[in-house]
Amino acid sequence: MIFKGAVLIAIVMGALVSSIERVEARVPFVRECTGRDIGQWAFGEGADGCDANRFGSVSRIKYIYSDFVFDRSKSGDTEHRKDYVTNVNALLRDLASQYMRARRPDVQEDEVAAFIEAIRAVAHQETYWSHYRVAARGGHKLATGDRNISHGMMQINQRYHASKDQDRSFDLVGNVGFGIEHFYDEWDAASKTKCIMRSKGQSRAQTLENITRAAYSSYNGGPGAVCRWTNPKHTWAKNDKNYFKKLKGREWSEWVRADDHKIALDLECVRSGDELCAVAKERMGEYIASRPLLMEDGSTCVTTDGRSLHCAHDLRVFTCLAGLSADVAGAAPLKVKSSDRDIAKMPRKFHENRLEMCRTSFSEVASIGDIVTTNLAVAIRGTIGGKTVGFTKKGQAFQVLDIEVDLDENAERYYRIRLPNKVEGWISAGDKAAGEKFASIQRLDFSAPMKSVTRWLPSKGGVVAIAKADGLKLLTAPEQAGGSSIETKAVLVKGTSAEVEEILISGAANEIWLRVKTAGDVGYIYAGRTFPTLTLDQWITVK
Amino acid sequence: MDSQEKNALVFKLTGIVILATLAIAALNHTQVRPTESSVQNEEPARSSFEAMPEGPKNTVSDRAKARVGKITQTSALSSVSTKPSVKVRQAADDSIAYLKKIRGCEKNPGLGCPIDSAVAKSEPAGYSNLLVDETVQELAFLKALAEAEAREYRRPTFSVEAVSRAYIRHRDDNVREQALHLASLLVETEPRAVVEIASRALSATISGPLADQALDLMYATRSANPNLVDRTLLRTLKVGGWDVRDTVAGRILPFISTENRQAFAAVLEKAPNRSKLALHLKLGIEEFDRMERL
Repeated sequence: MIFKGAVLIAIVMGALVSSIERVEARVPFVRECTGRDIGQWAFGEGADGCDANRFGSVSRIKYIYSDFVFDRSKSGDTEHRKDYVTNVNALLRDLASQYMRARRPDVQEDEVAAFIEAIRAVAHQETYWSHYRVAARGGHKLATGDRNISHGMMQINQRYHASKDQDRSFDLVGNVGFGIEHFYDEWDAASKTKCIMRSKGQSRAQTLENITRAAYSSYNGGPGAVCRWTNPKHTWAKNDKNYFKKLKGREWSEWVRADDHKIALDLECVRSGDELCAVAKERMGEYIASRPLLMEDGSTCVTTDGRSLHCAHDLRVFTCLAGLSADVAGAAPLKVKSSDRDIAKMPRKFHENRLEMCRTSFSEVASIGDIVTTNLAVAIRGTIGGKTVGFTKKGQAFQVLDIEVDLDENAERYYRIRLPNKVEGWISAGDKAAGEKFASIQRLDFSAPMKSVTRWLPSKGGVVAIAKADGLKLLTAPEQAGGSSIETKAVLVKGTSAEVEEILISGAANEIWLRVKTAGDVGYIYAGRTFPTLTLDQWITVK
Repeated sequence: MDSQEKNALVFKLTGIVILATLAIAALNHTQVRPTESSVQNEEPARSSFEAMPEGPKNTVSDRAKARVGKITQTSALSSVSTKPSVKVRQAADDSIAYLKKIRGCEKNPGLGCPIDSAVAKSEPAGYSNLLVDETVQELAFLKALAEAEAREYRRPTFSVEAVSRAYIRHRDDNVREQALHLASLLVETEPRAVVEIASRALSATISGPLADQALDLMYATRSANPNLVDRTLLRTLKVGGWDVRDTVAGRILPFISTENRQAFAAVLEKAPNRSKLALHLKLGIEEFDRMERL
């Protein structure tokens, strides 16, 4: 009963949590526009909009970026546009500032200010600060331009090398962040070009303005165009002129309520892939019992009784818990300050066993060590939604090294597998409704797989050899059990064979502990982890 | 310019336009987000399903190999002599001369440069992209040529190191990617050069995938200059681009040593709470500590 309660609590906690790897859109560059919403040149409405659900999860817009959606049914509402522009202004300001300071810790304040202005003007020039919007006829849209080649507020183009791995179109912070990275690259190069020095004794302010113009020229026309802005007869001079006009005009300032408006998002955190830190607006009527609580120490908790908290240190622990409670999936997380004493003083129980939670939460999903057989040729991607690194064959079977499950209602499942040539990656097994259409599952609970499967993980009753060069300690208990009573029974030298009696997996990185029997002893050895990459080779060899 | 030169120029420009059109067509051939998750699995069936590091869309190396194939097939001496054939030498010389010409066009668009081509005029970055595509293609060709020579136990007729070093300084990451591919041929023979080239790439790029590629080379050659590797990784983790920092953190484990562990731990202390950077650095250091402890 206690266990069931803990699981329920864990489920509640996990329902809103996403893996750190899965913020960006899941697919390569989208080129077709469905549900086109013709734009107009006004803040929030620039560029055409295309159905946002083609690029990413609309629930992400609703729950994380609700402050950054322009509702076109309110186009005539000045206050709505002011709200929108004020929030976007804060986002551009903070992201640009964070990036410049991260890259150049010794940067002077006037250059940071100039960079922020430059980024505001870029976003104005590209899309009139448009990214997500709700069309007048309804439906979420994403700003798209250049014959659908470029997407989002910063018009990220698929030619950018960094886009090879993940689509930067959809996520607002990802899109703006990558645009800023790219513009900074041009800014850095522009500051070293001769054409920014136009006169003797030029003021620093003028130099910064010239760097801005040069950086935009190369952002828009490629590195070779860095001095394009100095040539009024250039074919694309109009772009430079328009950019400069926007830079100097600061049209956005008419709509910004307060230049120091504080943003409700932890940008560094969101950009890094943590959805839980993306706090949506506080909403009346929601009870903390149905919401993940983001504690100041970085842990995430939930309470069901209002008296105690169930927590996890690591997001990966939550991942497997997602999707079991549709009610909770709609709730927004809540940031809890240490000064919120009523919550902060509650006793906390920390949950760490990710695999056990996975098994409980997603009974239809394979677990680590199980076998998945792909029923058709499936792409293997380096990261979920990332670059394709290989393909499976129809009927090919693999040991599951790790699992992930989408947070949304479809609960798409991903398995991490390894090809015989050691290339690792993720395959999609479709959503819950797809069942075993794409991948059949054979549950093994760490018993030995059939011989045709390349074995990377040990199995019960199987034999492993020590691979660690300086030997491996045989302990009285696995380290994760904690306590000071764990002792070293022996050091197993490299090459020593041991029979596996039990396999334990713990922690966010799927750390593997084996209870083994050697010639004269029984004890526990550490055998590596499966996340973010498999490290077993350094510890043991599976025979 | 005599008529022969003019003909050659017209030929080159036509080639540029055709190649650029092909490149754009390849770029246009992108996948569309499926409306249902099931569609996402329906990748085209392939005859070989083993790892395909460059992905199904990247045909740059395929085209380069086909071009080399034509040269080596028509070279009578290709499989019997220890010296490269005249055609192979000429092809390498032509390619390098063409690369120099492209560089010239990048710095000073003028006579002989494809400034008026339809592709160059199609968009603001059209001209720049055209030259990048050409550079990428030529570097891939030189790599394929060097590999073909290696299969015949011959050294390339050009300096792989010099070309790699020159193009790792290019501003475009697609070009840097090819420079790294070229440098990968030197892992066994010139590891010190490779580690320097990879380090340069890692320091300059904002692309996660390029950082990944550079890390592969740094891992393979790190013993040639471990101090440079440490300095580069630490600097990247501290002041690198967002994606690059995250990529390095995710692959940090094999680079951690007793000597540098503390420096990486110091970066971890300052890493934003809940960030991917912090998570991966923490996992890497924890696994390293286990290696030491267990």
